[in-house]
Amino acid sequence: MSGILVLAAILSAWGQTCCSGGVPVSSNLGFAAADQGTLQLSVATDVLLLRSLFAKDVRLADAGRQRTTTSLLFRAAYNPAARLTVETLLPYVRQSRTIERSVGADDVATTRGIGDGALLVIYDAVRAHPTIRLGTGVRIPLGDSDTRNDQGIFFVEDLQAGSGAWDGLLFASFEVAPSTRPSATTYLNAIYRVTGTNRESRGGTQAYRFGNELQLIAGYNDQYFTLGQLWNSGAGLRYRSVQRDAIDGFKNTGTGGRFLFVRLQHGIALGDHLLEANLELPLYRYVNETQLTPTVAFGLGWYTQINFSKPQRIFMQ
Amino acid sequence: MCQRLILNLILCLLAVMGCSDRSQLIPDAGEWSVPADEVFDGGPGKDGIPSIDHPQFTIAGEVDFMEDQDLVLGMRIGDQVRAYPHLILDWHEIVNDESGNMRLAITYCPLTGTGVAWDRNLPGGTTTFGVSGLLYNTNLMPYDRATNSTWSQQRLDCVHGELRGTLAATYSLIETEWRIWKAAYPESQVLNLNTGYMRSYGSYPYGDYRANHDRLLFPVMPVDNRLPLKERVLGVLAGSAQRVYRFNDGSPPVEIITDVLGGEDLVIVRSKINQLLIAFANPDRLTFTVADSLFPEILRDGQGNTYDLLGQVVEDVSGAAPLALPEQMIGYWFSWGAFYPGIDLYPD
Repeated sequence: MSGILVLAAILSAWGQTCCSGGVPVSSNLGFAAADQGTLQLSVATDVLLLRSLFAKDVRLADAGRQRTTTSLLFRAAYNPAARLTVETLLPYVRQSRTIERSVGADDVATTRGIGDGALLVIYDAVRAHPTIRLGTGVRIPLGDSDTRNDQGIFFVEDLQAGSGAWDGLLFASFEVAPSTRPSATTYLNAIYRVTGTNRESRGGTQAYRFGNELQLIAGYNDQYFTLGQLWNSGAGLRYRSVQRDAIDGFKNTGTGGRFLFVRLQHGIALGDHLLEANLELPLYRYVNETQLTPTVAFGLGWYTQINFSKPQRIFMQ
Repeated sequence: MCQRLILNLILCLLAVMGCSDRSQLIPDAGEWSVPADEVFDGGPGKDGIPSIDHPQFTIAGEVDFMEDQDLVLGMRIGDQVRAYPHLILDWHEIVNDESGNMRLAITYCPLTGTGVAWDRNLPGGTTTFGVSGLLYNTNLMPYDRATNSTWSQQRLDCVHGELRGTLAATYSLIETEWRIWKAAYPESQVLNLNTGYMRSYGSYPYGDYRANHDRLLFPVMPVDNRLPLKERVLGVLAGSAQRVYRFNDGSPPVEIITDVLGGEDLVIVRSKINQLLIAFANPDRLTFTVADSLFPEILRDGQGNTYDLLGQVVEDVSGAAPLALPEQMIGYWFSWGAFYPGIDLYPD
């Protein structure tokens, strides 16, 4: 496999999270196709800042509230067969809610811990140009969903590291390299998350279900050698649509909405390793009722792969 | 070298994510007067729902941002008669107000529909109240900014912190529709939309919550199903006794009932068509009838004195004294059933 393809593998897969659901899983799944016997590894960090208060699609002049989600994402994927990939993700999440108060110090609530994991099986339906991949999986409730603050009070659901529920995941991706420029990649990833219900929310007093979520991530990457290094730059869009959460079966107000983001990425190959930085900014937001929405997100990641069946350097230099 | 760089990067990230946040408030020490397991974080956080600390008012006759059916809370504060619209309180829940030498906090809980005015003069000095972000029986828990103590609105006492066990000094509000209020008090002052915040005033923030009898946002214990959970009723507190009164069925248009609660004589005015449900203390056991011309008068005693919705004397023919408002709140039935299990229900 060429270094060009390897670089594309990571760049098309990194995404950002929103506070709804608490843990960034869905948008960070889906390594690119790899050869049989290949192990792909990645560690990435995402920082998401929510400071923009919106009522439907109108920004409200109020910067008194802030949510920050910092995630460390460990990902691994292995190809046991030519067209089959088994991918896992394990996040470590730190979330904070800060209120700038008119009197006294800021009110800060912070949680941290292992978040919900994910297991995804992907089949390469078409493996040429274009590449079409289909997958399914589960989000596994590994994270705590019943942590309390120092006063013994349960943190609100979207501050918990875990959701307390098993979710179903559906994945599809379409990727093509233009014949006129094989170093470039155009991709579209779709991830649908069918959420389960945490029947033990708040000590078993409520049944809480996060809203189902659809994400579409489309982008264009191009790779080039300069200054003796292989570089990759990309840009794309991410659309996220989330249904309302539900409490005891009733729709929860102040949850759910539609978002469109622009994403910018820049990466470099260092020996057998890849490093990438990314930035995501909102273009459009429509929320149900009034909600705090993403203001900016950025991240940094590392990626490598090892092919156990055909040992080789992964980059041509 | 590259691997070492990456390893160091990962270790730094883990260190940053694991460190404690220095700006985090030191948690309050001490116990809760209510079961801590039944106190819930509502989501926005302390002061995440901002109180109005510099309220501004418009004369009722000049208000143009309310519809006739909108509900308001009203009271006499100092020498002023003031109204606080639900459509503003839904988004702020607390108004720190003052007039003359009175320093009050008007608190309103949209999830239980209850409101009351608190004296802001607490042991240790005058303070303001803020929204703690916590709920007990899905009811607002204000906190005082002097001691950071947490209070229970419907229990009317401090349940956590330095002032735990302190009873609140409160004043009762009346609740009615805007059409009634502006007819009764056209010169009164009405909290206006210049709150200092940009919110969707007029848009109820909780969907169908107030009309859906099956839907509660946070656990309530116990749930009393004798009435529909969201039926608006008047709860009256007299000493250690509590009783709930319902709106009448519309006939007669204004109904007066007398009752004794906790040894105190009461007269209750209820009118479904006028959306009035008010209890007055009646220590002299006067006999009342409905005033001839409604609003602001509502009651006439046997000597011909008339009284308005706030119990003030309007027509004084025999040196009448104002009628006091006992502790009372209009609110959703479920909250009275939860705070006062087995609460007495006035027989209709």
